[in-house]
Amino acid sequence: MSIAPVIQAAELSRWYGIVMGLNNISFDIGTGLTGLVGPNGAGKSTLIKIITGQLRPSDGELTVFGMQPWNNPAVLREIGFCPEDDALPDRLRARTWLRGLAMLSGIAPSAAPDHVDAILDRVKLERVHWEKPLGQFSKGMRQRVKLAQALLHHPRLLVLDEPMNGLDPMGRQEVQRILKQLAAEGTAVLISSHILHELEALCPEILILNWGRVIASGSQLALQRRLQGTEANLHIRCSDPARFTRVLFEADLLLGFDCTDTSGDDEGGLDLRVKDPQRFSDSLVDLLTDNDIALHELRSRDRSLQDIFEKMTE
Amino acid sequence: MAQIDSSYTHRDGDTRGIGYRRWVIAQATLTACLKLKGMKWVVWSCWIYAFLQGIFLFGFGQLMDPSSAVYAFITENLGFFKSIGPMFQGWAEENPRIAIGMTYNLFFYIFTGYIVSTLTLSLVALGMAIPRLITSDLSSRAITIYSSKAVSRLDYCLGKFGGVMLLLTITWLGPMLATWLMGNLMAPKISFFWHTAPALLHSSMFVMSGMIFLGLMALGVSSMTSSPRTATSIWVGVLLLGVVLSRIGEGSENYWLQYLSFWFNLELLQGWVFNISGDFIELGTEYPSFTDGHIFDRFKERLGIKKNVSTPRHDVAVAITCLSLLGGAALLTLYKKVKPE
Repeated sequence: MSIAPVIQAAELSRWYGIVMGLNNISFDIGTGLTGLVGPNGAGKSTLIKIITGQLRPSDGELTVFGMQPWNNPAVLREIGFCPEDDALPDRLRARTWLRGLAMLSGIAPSAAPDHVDAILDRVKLERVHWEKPLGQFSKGMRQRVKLAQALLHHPRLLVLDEPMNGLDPMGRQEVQRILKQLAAEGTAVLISSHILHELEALCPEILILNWGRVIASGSQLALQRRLQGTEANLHIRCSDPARFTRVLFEADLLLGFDCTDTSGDDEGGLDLRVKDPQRFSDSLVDLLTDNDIALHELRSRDRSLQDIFEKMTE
Repeated sequence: MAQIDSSYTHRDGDTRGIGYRRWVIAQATLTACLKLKGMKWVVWSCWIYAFLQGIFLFGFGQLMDPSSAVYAFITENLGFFKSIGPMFQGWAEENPRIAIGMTYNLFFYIFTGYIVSTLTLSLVALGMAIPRLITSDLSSRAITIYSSKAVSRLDYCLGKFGGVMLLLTITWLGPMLATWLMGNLMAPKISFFWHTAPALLHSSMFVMSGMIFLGLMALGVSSMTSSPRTATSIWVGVLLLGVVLSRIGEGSENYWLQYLSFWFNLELLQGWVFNISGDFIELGTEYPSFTDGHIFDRFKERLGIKKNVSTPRHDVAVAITCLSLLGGAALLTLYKKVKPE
């Protein structure tokens, strides 16, 4: 069995005149769900356009399934793209437009209608809307049609730019379920989104861009560990919070703390900022037993993608 | 880093080739154009016009057959044809290439490229269709989705070009072929087919050249803007500019301005392809008494044939070069505008 990354970038750059969109970035993306994160102007859209063959790199190389995607139908037939823009022709009916796109993807005219119906069912667009002009669709319905067109040709790589925009909570859950299912079937899914907590729940892999550079990539867990190399934010509940903070200070493990329970309860909660998480973890049991402190709760406050994103981009 | 098995194949079923995909774009373009309000009327008008021309050719064919009821009716009831009818009949027996071939050539010369032809209706059809060619894809931004599918920019443009060609086939080439076929099928003799074959060849050559040029121009204009109204206005502007330049340059020192008008260049091309002047020269040689009249001179003048000489080759070369340059400019516009970047 041979293995290869789905998307591979090597010293990739893209300029718009004198403005740098992407600055000499290198990364690999494999199968499964990968989240693309970055503030506005980070280069996410530029990267997505290069991946989907709509933009040519200024320098360096990006390959999808080992081939360059620019103006290359051989690669594009393996990619499904759901753009952020509202890119639907209002005068056409959903079913008619999707049938045309199915045929444009090489599906025979006889097979296209059934195929489109199955995809529309999959994205949960109610049948009553299938024959309506797209101009009459709500934003959520349009989002589903955009997703449907991306899935039409069973792509091996699905690139989604803000796919949750306009969807209600139920719709978001359905889209998440579909994406997880696709990933389980072997499709590589790259999702760009501003809704970080959704990416956190959905994407085990993350690529963070800022100022046209990759500032972090890999699994969320690995990124978490990397951040914990210097400091960690913890929430703790113990039998004697005041004593526990003093002990941590004496052991040179505490950078700061905050009482989260102001009721005066001796067993209140504490938000701790500890340095050297590894040493903290190694010495925690000894510190607790030596000082006769009972630990009721200990959890990390650094687990959200938001924290990773903020730390990486600050 | 996650890895994949590159031997994994997810797709099921056959996938059609690029020719099919281009055809899908062409078909969709034509369908979108035909769905336009008023387009059906234009198309019907083209075919009704072709039918009327066919009836005219039927009448002409009947003039060659003295045993036909139409011949008897025409020569008895229409004074002008009393002398013309037997003359045509005599000609048809003596020199069918001139009597039948030349008449058909002149007929198709007038009815394929003049203001009275289906070219005019085709230009109207193109004007209506332009917002639906590329403009609508740009304004809806659906071009982003099309360009992410397995078709290159060239394939997309070829598909769109195919759609325009289909539309022009329905409004221009098709009616012309139907007229020719109708005239011959209802002709009294099977020999009409080969006597009129040169006329068909000339018409096809001119119409197809015109279709390619106008198709490129229409696509170029359609890709210039994402506003349907602006696209239509540009098209009308291009047509009017052609007329104005042709008129300004005519007979003036700045005669070269005429070559900037695609109307003028198409007229030159048409004159060269049909070689009507050559026909008249031959007619004058064979039947000098017929061509000497004042009426005949005025007729020639109205057709733009002032001297008994064929269209100069260098004029045609300049016209073709100018048309190619205009087509090239349209292609360049397409290349610049129809790109996802």
